[in-house]
Amino acid sequence: MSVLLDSSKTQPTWPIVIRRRQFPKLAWNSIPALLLIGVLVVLLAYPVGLLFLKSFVASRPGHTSVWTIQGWVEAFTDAKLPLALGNTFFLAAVRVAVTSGLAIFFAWVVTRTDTPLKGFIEMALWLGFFLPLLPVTMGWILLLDPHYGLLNKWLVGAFGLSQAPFDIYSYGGIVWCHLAFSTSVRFMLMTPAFSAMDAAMEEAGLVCGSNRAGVLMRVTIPALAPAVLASTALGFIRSLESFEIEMVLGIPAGIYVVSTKIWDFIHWEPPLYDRATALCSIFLLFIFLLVWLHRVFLRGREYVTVTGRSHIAESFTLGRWRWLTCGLCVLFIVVMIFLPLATLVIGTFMELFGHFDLATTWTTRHWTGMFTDPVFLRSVKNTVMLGLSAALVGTLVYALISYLIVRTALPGRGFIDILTWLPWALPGILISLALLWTILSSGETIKLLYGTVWLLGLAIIIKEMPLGTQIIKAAVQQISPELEEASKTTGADWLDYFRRILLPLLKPTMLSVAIIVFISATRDIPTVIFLTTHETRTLSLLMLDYMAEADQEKAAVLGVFIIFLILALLLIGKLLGFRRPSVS
Amino acid sequence: MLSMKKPVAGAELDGAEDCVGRPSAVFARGRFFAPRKRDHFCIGRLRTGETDRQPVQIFALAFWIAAAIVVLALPSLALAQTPAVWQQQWDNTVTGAKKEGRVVVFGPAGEIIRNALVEAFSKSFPDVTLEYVGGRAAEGAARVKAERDGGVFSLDVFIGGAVTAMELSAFGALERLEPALILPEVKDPKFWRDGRLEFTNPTTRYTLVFSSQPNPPLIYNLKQVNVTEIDQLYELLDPKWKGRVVLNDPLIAGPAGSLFRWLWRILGADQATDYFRKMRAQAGAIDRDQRRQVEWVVHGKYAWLLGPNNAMLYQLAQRGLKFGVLPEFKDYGTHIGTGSGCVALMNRAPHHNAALVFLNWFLKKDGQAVWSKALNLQTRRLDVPLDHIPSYLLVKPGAKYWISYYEKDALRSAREEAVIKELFGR
Repeated sequence: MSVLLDSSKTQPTWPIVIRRRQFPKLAWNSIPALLLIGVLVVLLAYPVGLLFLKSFVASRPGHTSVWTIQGWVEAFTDAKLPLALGNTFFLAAVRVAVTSGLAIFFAWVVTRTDTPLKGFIEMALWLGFFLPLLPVTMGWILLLDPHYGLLNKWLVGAFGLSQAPFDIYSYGGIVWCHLAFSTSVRFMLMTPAFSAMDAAMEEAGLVCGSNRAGVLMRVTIPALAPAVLASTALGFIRSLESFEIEMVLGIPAGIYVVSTKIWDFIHWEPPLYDRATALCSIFLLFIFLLVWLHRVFLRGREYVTVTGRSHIAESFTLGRWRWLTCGLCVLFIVVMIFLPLATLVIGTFMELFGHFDLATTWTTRHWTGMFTDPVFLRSVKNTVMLGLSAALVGTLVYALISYLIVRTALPGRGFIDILTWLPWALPGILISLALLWTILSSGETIKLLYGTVWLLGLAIIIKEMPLGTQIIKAAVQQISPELEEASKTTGADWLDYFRRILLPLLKPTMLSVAIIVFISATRDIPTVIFLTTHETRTLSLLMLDYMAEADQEKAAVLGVFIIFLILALLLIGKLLGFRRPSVS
Repeated sequence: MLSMKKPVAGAELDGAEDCVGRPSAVFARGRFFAPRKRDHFCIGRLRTGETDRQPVQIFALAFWIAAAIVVLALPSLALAQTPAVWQQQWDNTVTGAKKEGRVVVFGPAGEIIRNALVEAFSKSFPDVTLEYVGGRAAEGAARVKAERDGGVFSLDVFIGGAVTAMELSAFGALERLEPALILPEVKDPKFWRDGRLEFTNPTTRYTLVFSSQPNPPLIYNLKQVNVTEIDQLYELLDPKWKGRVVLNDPLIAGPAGSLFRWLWRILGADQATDYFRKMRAQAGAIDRDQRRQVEWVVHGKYAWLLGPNNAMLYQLAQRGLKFGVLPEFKDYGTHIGTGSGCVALMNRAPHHNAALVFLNWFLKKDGQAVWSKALNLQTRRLDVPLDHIPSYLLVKPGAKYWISYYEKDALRSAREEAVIKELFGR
């Protein structure tokens, strides 16, 4: 059975919604959309263009700045670059392959089956996304370091092994430490699409004689291709850029990736931003390739799974197999999420994480120290303001852009689609620098933004635009245009449709995106580093202060605090009646 | 002759850099701050060896006599203005600062230094808010440049490393510092080590070095290493250490970068290249996590660590980690750095009066004591207690030191950079 619908039967007729492959008719109400395109060009293309332009300017202290391609030449003639490129793509491919399988499995279990403890599994996987990467990696090192790792030591002692069975400083170690976070985030992005799918399609598959695995592979996953593909593409690009774990675990083992080379250039003294930008062009090229492939794959097909008809949300009955799916999920959660979380919390009560032989091993001073820091409260206030504003405004903007790309035929929407990927071609610190240059070279009115939390919010919205837009875009692709037609027939205007139909249907996806943006706002240091001031200090910069003084324990306290902060906000949201809406 | 080792014939000495007016950074015995004979009169000349120094001895003597007269005369000249004059200037500045209400200072990241400075300054000047922006100095410089290109002037005072201060100076962001020093106890050289205010560039005098200390070249595991096995530079290349050594990454800014610069200067280009190559072969790991590499040594994963971070060592020792510290090599001494111990006044500072108030407060005993206590670093002021500073960070009479913070020594030569990149590049 095919779930691909004939696109000609479901075309929207809104003034700015023009049939595909027709010459665009610009109505007056296209102007806001065109304005949005203009704003995006200014916010995305201009800073990135400026950055690349400046990468051709070389300046060393005491010397005059000159135009040169030296930075690019030096970046690309590095003999070790091919090896780093190979490592980068290899690690990204393995990570994406493993996390794709896991995320699809968990999303399917939680949304389409009668597996016990589904609520717990979903909540725990969300928790995996909240875990701060570096402290968790420290926890894994404590367990799996070949020299002093506790688990290794125990295994060597218990089984009389000649050497430690695990080495965290390896390709496998890097992938392992990424698993919880990467799987969780992809689970979060896929779940709304899975839950919005009409079970009638799967029922039809079963009626036609397929078994449950066959239905999953031949109906469910193909029908959800936009969401799965978008999340895979995002995951792949994110993996290419990832550097924190690669730096901690890769460098001691001689495993270098492109992102650690970029980090090198940025941390040179004085920083070599030109070479860093030059290397970023690799990501840019790859993003263009990926966007093209994505478009080629989805071209000419529709992936509508949410229509105006009644929605069947029944679960597959797995019979006794449901205990196996439950057991696998719980095993993953215990090993990959609860174990590191417990290590993280225990670590915050140790004088020095992993050192059990000190005169004072246990302490609460990291907790008391953080709460008595005079800038803590201001940082919390700024972070909540930043997180909420970026999450709310960002998610709304991403939804508008997604609608514009998927449901209109405005000129330039393809260009906008590509533009939205741009922020992931650059590491956060270069985005921050580019934005700083852009704002400071603008008019006096725009310069007023400098030194405010709103500018930090803008930076975060830009940084997370690829994720937000692509995921919401995938969700919009699942919603049938007939709903838009129906709303128009009943006399609603476009705003009514957007507000009362589209947004509620997108709510689960938007909630996931909003939480990701919020987390990013609370944790992201590089993207805001050039834009913060004394007054706009956030929790992430407080974390930087702690790490500068080798106090990773206090930084971990902050990580745990942020988890509680998010859980509290979610709880408040729930108490205020914010629930995942029924798609029917 | 104060240097211990003759330059190797044909060795690269970066002659042009060596000879810019100031007692050079080539290591000196006894008093690390003492100007070296051989560097004084080589402006515009390429140093070629010991014999070159003979013709200038008479000039050297004359210079020292003249310098002594100037030094003796300076206090009376400097303090020639009556107390009423500086007091009046100071009162006016403080009044102006109160009107401005705040001062924006960029300095090293860290909760301890941030809170210590803000708290102490607010006690002394409750009407002036200190806005302390902490971060990596290089990022601070990039930001200041962008701001100034865009016509924004937000920063008043910069505290950081010599290289970044040099960058700020290069794009004309700094103001000469001496005219900003108002309080006699700040501007009077007698309160400062070596009887002078130390600048990274004695000609331009934009950046004042207020704090400098010896950097211990390595730390070691107390159970695995006897200090006598590693207290000479070439002992580190003993095959028994192969694979048991961790190097702090010299590629990026930091103490290891400075250490490798020092080795390059004292060994000369050829010998240093050879030494670096052999050291690279010894290394079991090259790491950037400056806390973890210390922990590796404590855990016994590696026997010793080359190029540790001072501040990190102190923090971790305070918290209970035990490791041995080699203060300097017996044969080559060590290098002296500033860390973040340079201060500069921004020109077109938006809160100029408040900036002057902060600078004078910061450079007098009170401010320097706060700095020294918070970071456990030695200030160059002579009246600040040293009892809280670990002994390996104190300048020792008779030890050999190379000074790393002069502008002329700040950047690597092209050859040096190529070698470092080839051996340690990713």
